[in-house]
Amino acid sequence: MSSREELERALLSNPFNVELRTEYARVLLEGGDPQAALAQFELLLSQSATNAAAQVGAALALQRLGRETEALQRYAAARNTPGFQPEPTLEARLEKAKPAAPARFTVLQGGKSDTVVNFVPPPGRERIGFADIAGLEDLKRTVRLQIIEPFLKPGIFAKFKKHAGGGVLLYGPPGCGKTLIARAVATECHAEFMSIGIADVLSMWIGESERNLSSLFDKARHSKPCVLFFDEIDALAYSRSKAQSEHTRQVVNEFLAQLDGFGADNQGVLILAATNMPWDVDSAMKRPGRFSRSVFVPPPDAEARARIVELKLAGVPHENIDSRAIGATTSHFSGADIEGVVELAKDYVLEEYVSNGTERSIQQDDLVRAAKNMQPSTLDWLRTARNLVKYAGADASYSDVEKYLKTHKLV
Amino acid sequence: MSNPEDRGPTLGVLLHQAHALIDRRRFAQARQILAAAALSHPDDPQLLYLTAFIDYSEGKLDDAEKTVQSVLLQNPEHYGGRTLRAELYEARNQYAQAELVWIELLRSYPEDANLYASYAELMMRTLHLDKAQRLMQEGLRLEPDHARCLYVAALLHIIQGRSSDPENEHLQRLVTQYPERIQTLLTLVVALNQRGDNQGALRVAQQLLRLRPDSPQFLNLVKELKFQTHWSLLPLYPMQRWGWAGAGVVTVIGIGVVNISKSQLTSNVATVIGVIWLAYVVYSWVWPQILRRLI
Repeated sequence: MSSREELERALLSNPFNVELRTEYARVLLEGGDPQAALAQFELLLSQSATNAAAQVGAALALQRLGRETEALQRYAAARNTPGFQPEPTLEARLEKAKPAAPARFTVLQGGKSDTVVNFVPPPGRERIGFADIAGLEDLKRTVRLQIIEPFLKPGIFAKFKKHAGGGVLLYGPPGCGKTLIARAVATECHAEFMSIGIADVLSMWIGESERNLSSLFDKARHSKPCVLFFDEIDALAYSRSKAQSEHTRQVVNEFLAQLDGFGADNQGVLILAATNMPWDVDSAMKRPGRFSRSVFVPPPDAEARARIVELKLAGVPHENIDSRAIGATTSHFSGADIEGVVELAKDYVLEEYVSNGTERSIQQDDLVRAAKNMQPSTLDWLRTARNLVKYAGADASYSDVEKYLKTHKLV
Repeated sequence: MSNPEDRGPTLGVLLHQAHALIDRRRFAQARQILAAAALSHPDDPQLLYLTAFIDYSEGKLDDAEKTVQSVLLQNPEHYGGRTLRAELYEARNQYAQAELVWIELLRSYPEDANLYASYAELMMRTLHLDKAQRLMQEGLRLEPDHARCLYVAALLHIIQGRSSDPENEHLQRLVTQYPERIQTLLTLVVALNQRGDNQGALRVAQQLLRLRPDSPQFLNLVKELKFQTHWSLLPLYPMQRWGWAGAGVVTVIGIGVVNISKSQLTSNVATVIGVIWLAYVVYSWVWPQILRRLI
């Protein structure tokens, strides 16, 4: 085995050598510096989430740091990773550890009302199914295969040795229906829908984020079957390598611990998350058992755009509208952008009424003019995604984006 | 930055949220929260400071400067306000004024390693390398594992022409203690590039771009390194590695070979060698420009 200094020098010349870094992390661990070893194992995992040796190494480092529960959680997760080699000490401890009883239900209101978040779903929301979402047939098929069926029929997936556990990350440009898809998934799964938005996440940053998070997971477990949806997950699980404050890193650690749900029964709870900025989500979130599956939600296709036009015009005076033609000319427009087009067309008609007193319905020309005067808001996102795919050597989780960019000749 | 929790629950909570949003670079949402808080606490220095910080981060230097003035009017000793003032001077290339602010700050906080790093960065930028070196020694004496001090010290090591020295102790410590930090990766790119290991530098730069795919700086860095490592530029390696000196040596060798072939070889072979040499010269001028556009 090389010395610590030799390995440090070698790593400097070849920072991406996995064997070298693994050996270095082991030397640190054996040399009594588990904190530094943990940092190295985490780095290895950020480069390859399925590195079983690094998972086990991280578990050992956590154990030496006295973080027994986290160590066992990490080791349990490592067992599902290809190439896993058992580690006798941790194996024995894991066998001894009995599943903890589900945590007691936490009272969400009363007492310190400003420190604990009330996650009551907003009342009166109608349920939305796939039938209510126009177009996006490919996406619906993917979601059905990757999310809904494994949740409804775990047995058949287990028979074919298809791993169906863990959460699913929906990502894509803003305003393209990620939240809508998540709600539809809940309906299709015949499950309760619990949505955690940015406002809830903001409250979670205050004081007792650990208690807030655990209350939330408890509530989801008590509402089985349930879809627990984290909107703008990057706000909660912001990449620790980019965060400046220790508090941000702490929140991510707590969230990871909750997700691993060691000893708690997460059966019947489907965890979904959405983000416009998947590159800002901590890489540890994408490891097996957490959000290991990602689904790209692209801008609506022409059929969906046409349908959105029809929906937005419902109940508004209009005549001779060819929604398909509008759908065809609004490439890359998000659902929100299409809504903007219709709103702008309304403004044209009202402007005319105010200046001439002529009252008329919305016509095709108004929509065409509005569409010409608007830029799709998804282009910035798609350009950033292009940087990832074309220049940064992005991993397989962005393959759907790559396919989309190639199909639309954006890369 | 002072503790926001000291300011009463409502403002404290809002400041905490705004701070957390800024840490996650969600500036628009942080602005909304600060605007809401400003309705009841329009002159709170911390609130004004965070607003100025967002303006500065978004490149709105005039707005940031105005707000920093308000911060310092309310509280002339405000740490964040004073550091931001120095950063603003630096952003406008007013280095002398920035230096004065850093010196004043160091008088107030003589044991703050972060201030030594900031001042050393300014000295490095203005090529006062010895002074930067001494500042870094002091910063690292106060906090031996301070990430920013290590970063500046490692860069200084490279700038001072010791890039091929494998004993860049500061860089080693950065790589081992803060392996995922953006500053560490950036220093590593510079070090690898200086050593001529452009493939390694490209891989690290790609990792940087994966962390910040919307950063034009990292995108350009990757494009430049892709260009430098492109296989079609292999015949131009001497020029790429040693610049004009390399170009001079290649020219002398080329002309020499053409002349020798004229006198020693048959005219047909000499013509072929002459054409190849001409093609190489044209390729060395034209192809890099085309390739840069293609990348």
